[in-house]
Amino acid sequence: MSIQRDGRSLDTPLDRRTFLRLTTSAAGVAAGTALLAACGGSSSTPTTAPAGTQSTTSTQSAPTTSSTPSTGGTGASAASTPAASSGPAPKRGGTFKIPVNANITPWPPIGAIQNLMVNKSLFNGLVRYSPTDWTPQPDLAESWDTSSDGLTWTFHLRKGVTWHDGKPFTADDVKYTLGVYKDPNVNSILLGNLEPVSSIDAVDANTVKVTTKTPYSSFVELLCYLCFMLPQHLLQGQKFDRTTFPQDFIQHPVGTGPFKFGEHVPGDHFTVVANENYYEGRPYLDSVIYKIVRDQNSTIAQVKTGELDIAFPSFAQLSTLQGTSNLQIIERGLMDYRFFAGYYKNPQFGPWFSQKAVRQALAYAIDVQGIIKQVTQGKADRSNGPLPPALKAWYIPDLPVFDYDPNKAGQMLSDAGFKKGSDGILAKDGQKYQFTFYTDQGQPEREQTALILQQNFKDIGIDAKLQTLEFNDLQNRYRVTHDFTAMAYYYVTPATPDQHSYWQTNGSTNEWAYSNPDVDKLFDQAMSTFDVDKRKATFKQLYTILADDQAVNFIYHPHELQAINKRVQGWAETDYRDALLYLSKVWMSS
Amino acid sequence: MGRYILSRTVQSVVLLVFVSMLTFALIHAAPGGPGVLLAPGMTGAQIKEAQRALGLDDPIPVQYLRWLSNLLHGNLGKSYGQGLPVSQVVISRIPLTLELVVTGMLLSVVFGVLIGVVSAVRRYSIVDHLATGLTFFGMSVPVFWLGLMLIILFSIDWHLLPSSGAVTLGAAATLIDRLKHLVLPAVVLATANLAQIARYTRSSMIEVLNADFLRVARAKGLRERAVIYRHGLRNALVPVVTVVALGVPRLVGGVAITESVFAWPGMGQLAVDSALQRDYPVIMGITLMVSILVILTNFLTDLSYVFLDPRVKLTGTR
Repeated sequence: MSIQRDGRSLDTPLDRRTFLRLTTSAAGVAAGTALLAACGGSSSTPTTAPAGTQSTTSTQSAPTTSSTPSTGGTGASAASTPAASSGPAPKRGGTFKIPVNANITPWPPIGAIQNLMVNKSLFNGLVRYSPTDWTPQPDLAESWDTSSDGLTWTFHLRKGVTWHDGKPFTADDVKYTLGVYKDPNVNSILLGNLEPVSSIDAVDANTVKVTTKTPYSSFVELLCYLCFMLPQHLLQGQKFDRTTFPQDFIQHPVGTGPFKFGEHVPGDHFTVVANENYYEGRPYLDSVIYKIVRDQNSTIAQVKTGELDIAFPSFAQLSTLQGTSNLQIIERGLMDYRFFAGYYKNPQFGPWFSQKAVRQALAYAIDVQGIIKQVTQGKADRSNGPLPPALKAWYIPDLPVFDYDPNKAGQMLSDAGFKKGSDGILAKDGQKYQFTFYTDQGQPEREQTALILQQNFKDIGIDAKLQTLEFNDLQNRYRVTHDFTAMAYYYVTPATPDQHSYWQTNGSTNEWAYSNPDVDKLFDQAMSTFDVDKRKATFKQLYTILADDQAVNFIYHPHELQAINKRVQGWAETDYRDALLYLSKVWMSS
Repeated sequence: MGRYILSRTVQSVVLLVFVSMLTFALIHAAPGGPGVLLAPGMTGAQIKEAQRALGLDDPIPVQYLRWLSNLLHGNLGKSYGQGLPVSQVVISRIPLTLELVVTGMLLSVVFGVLIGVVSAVRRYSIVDHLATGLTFFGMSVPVFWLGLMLIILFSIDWHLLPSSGAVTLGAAATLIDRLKHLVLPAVVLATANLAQIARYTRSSMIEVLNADFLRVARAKGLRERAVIYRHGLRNALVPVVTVVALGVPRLVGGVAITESVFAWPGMGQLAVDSALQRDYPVIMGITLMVSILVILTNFLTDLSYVFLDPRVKLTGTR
């Protein structure tokens, strides 16, 4: 069921939230009603991991000897120390309650936000993102280096790490795990990232050698992304694929992480308890409860009552949290960009979307500042490409942007041969510029953005009708069947500038069918460049072209809002998904 | 009687097949595929491969027959999202849903009948008008709205009752704690049903109160209380039983919304999740179980008439 909206007003059949908002304001029911605010937030994240990627430095930050041809990553920041609170000494004990929005299946190969939130407490990767700037930091690998030809990566593993069942973690586990993620039958979410890998060898108990077919400079950055290590001794010999999971394991997962499996009541909660033998020391918390709460309004209600310790409000919900004394509202940068994209191969409008001048005209037509102000209350950064300012190490500030100028947009379209008809709609060769674009249902932030886009386009004579589709429907259309004209959407990406799978011709997640030979070449070049400065220069060249091309119309990078109970201390100063990598440092003050 | 039961059983099986066919067709007609196959990070080609591996590219009738034949072998399939057998996934949710439905049913029957009787006996009194007003409100108020309002008042503003879940997480389980969690969802679930039962009881009771046999009962000198409860109510209840029985599917349906509002981890919530995630095997499993439940209830209701009203006779051919 999809709702057709072609006006600015929400003249749709009342959905429950609209209804609720209307009814309560009418009934004058008392305040404090976080419940009334529209729900938003990114429930399910269409993170398309760059399948196969390139370019990066072998960031090597650990205190071990290694011979790296490149210097350490740019943001050589304080390694794994989450920016903890100053104040009193950490206290042991307590339970941290965090909401997830769907059923949990703790099986790393399948991904999905609610699962990976849990996986981050149960498992470790070889490397993990720094809580300050997303550069790769040591986790189970103490250090790593690359060969001079860039084709061999050697990982030196931390010694003395044990699985939750007491068995030692070794290089064999790493070899086994990467093999699982690379297995086409398992069809894991990391399949694309590991595509360039040709062999994985355990040199000795604590050393792993990974060989790639071609230089792969972003390999370590991508290894930070959901590549959780699995215990070979518990999984070997079991059969699993995309929908068959090792049943004993998912009912009693065993990792190396700061927390061990505690209890799972499907549909209700998933509890993990402190791992006394964690390699960084026992976590302060006794347990973490992931509570399944589907409705975002309910999470706000529960964080107010203390039933949850943290929630992630939408911008619209912010006002309902004002003056809640037990909560602190935090704003964080995020690997996330919002955009408008046309499908270049759409039979009817593709030929228009594939013209650079048309895309630039659309960029001029979009009132980006207006959208940021109205939709996010200013809590966002104007976007000049897929890399957000929050990705400090790689962000490129001075890229071409197209400031709101509807007249110029109109002029460009007229130069491109479009003429306004008597109805005020642009047309070319007898074909009106009149199409339907999609966004996903039930996400006010994106719906509002889309409504403003619709108006912006209308102002220059493009009649764009908005249709909101249910999440799965939208996913299927733009990723599998490619049955769409255009969409206003968002991407959460891994923290690396190497996003070649999104932008290279025929890239595995290049859903728009964008193609530019220069971009193709520069991504390849970046992939085989290991020196940080050279890499940076290549990316600057590349993203300048992408921005000037307006491959898609980049709109903004939203900030993430966290409403966190003031009792919670030591919560890493980053977006919540990555803060979860540092749960062992969180503690509760009384 | 035996023949009646046999014929109803055959009808029920046919009905079940139709219900399952319809559900199967409907869920596959819904756009988008299983959520687990659309995970971020997977490419279009990967998704297609996974769909093929699950047989989702076969024609719908073929898929249905495969499901049916598995069912006949006692196999409901496996949840796409959770990777566990559907029977295990669904059965684990039944106790909590039963707890909610049974409580809701008890509340609505007890208070519904009580309000109905009082309204009828004191027709056009203030009490009756008040009851009429409240029952109309109860019947027309949307379940989710009522639920959210109660949460705002009782949980957020007054801190009297918890807003979600069946128990306090991370605390020792106590009966009091469970009851506290049960109050709001059970009340919300019961409301519409309660209102309807009250309305039916009222009108049925009014009819009976004017009946000749009550006049006779009064004439022979019975006390008013005995007249109303022993002779009146017993007779007035026959149509009410139907309403109560019809309320079962309604409660089971309402449970989906109530459970979602109160994060009650029962079958209703599982149904909603599975529908959103297009977890076809789980949706089919739930549909099957709920259909059986509803058919069984209706059947038992029909049987109960025999006991409530000796004039009713059940025969195989109706």
